[in-house]
Amino acid sequence: MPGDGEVGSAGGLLDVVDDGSTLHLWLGNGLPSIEAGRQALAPFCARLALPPRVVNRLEVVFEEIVSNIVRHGFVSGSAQRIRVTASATPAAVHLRFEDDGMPFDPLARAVPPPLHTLADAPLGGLGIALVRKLAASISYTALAETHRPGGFAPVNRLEITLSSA
Amino acid sequence: MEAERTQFISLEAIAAAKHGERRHCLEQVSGADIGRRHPIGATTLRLGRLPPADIVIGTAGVSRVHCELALHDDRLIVADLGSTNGTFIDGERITGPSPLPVGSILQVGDEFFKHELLTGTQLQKSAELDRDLAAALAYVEALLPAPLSDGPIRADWVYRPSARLGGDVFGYGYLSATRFALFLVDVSGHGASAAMHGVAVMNLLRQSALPGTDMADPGAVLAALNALFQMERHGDMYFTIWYGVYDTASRQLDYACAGHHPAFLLPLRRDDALPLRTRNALVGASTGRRYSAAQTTIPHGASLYLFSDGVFEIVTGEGLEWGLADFLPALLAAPQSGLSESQRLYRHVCAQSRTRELVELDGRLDTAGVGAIETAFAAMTAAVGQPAIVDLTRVTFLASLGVRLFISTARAVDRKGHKLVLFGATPAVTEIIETMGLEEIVPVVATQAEARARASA
Repeated sequence: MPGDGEVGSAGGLLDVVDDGSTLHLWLGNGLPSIEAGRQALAPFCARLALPPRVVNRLEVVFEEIVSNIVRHGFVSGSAQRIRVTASATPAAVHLRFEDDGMPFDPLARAVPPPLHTLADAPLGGLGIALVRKLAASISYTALAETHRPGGFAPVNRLEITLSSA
Repeated sequence: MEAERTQFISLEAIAAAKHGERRHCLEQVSGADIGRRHPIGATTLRLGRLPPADIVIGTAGVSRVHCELALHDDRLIVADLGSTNGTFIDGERITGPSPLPVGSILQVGDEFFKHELLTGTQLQKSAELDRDLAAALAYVEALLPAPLSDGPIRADWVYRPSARLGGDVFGYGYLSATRFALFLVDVSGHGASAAMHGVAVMNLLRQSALPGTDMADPGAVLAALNALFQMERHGDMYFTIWYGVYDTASRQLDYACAGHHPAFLLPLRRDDALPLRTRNALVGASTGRRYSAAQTTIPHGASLYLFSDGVFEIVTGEGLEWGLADFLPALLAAPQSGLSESQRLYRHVCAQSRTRELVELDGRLDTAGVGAIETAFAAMTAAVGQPAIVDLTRVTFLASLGVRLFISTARAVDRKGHKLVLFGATPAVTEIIETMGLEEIVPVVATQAEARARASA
């Protein structure tokens, strides 16, 4: 995990682009981004008529990843944005999370062993462990630094597929 | 000592406010001083059970000099100073100097603190509120009568507000050479407004200042109070009262009771205890009421017990809710030599009572939701040294921070030899519990009855 950045207070939904099949959400660096983003995902879930348990999984994955980024991923000076792209096929929902925070591969850490006793249960890394278990597939890409003044230069890309069955 | 420290907080806060800075602060989230905030400044602070510790916490499990707190580069570092019971951050015992992140819970003995970053204005407000509540409580206590240790009537009492301030007040005193009045009032609700209402009622009674009313006539006193304190003109508050007047010459006690449980008259043969009560409407809840009174003769050497419902509305260590009937055996039990009756009963109730062990959660346990409840949740479960039963029926969403909260509090409860048990999870919450394997380390059951059984197993 990179050094904890400042949790900004300026979070929230910056923009939504929905072309009817793919949804793009632009989120700021702050905890309000989580709830604002979840609400912006609701019409997407409704349009696909996803069953409640898939919606729950999607919300949990969204919560964990965005929460991780806003709580740990940003350092001052970056543009501090997250782009979430959601699309679907009949069998699956695809989520892509891109941010311009500190480079961080959440999958580099070993999958923690199953919880065994209360005394030795880990308190960290639970979110990523949960996402890995809920996802049908997950992959991380470190993006080359492409300087685009005024634009969005994502550093991290995480792609997650959820089965919609 | 107390006043000096409060003043210190206030001055620091004003200085910080001028600079628009945020200040590190430890907020007590358990125990009698819940809500009290201790600002952390540039100097290292020591926390311990006795002065000269900077933060004095006089409760069980805290060592004389327990731990030390200091800011390094705006990070709060905690070091245990060889305490007997250890220092814990989010449920983990620290072995060396450790950072206490903002939002984390520090546990010292049986007390829990949350690390917060507050603006000077927030700190100043909290210091003012502390001071105001302490002043209000001191004011109420100053109005209470002194115990009577000689004369034909002797009186003794214990006064402990359940929250920081409540609406229970009482008083007694002579109306004339032979007539002695006594009363206990319980205003609906808690907090400053209930206390102010209680004080208003108490002041009228202790100064015998009800207009045109014979203070020796309990029915007339209650009717006059009802006319004066109608709830629509008094912030929707009403009260229950027990009021009596004893004549030392005739040995007659006249009494009236409105919505209150009985007082108990115990003759020397304690088994002949007599409940003294008349049935009347609550004072302030309806207009034009007549209040019935009754009369009884007081035998030589008898005692009258007058108490608020706080002594019996408790939850015991076994999770049973007490009522008046549960308190009566203790009341009837023999006095203890060397202990006043009020002290004997107070100790008995303290020994039985526990904070409510069932914790109901509501809403979404997401990042924001967990942030909003974790302090109170830790205080209601881990801090109280008993099993914790958590009702998830109305939790609609669970994410990893919620799972983490359950693990860290279950661990703290477990360290005290008890269990934290979850029940009533919805399908969405169950899927996350099972995906994480949380049920392997924390009992998760379907119903409250099963949860109680598991918690006491």
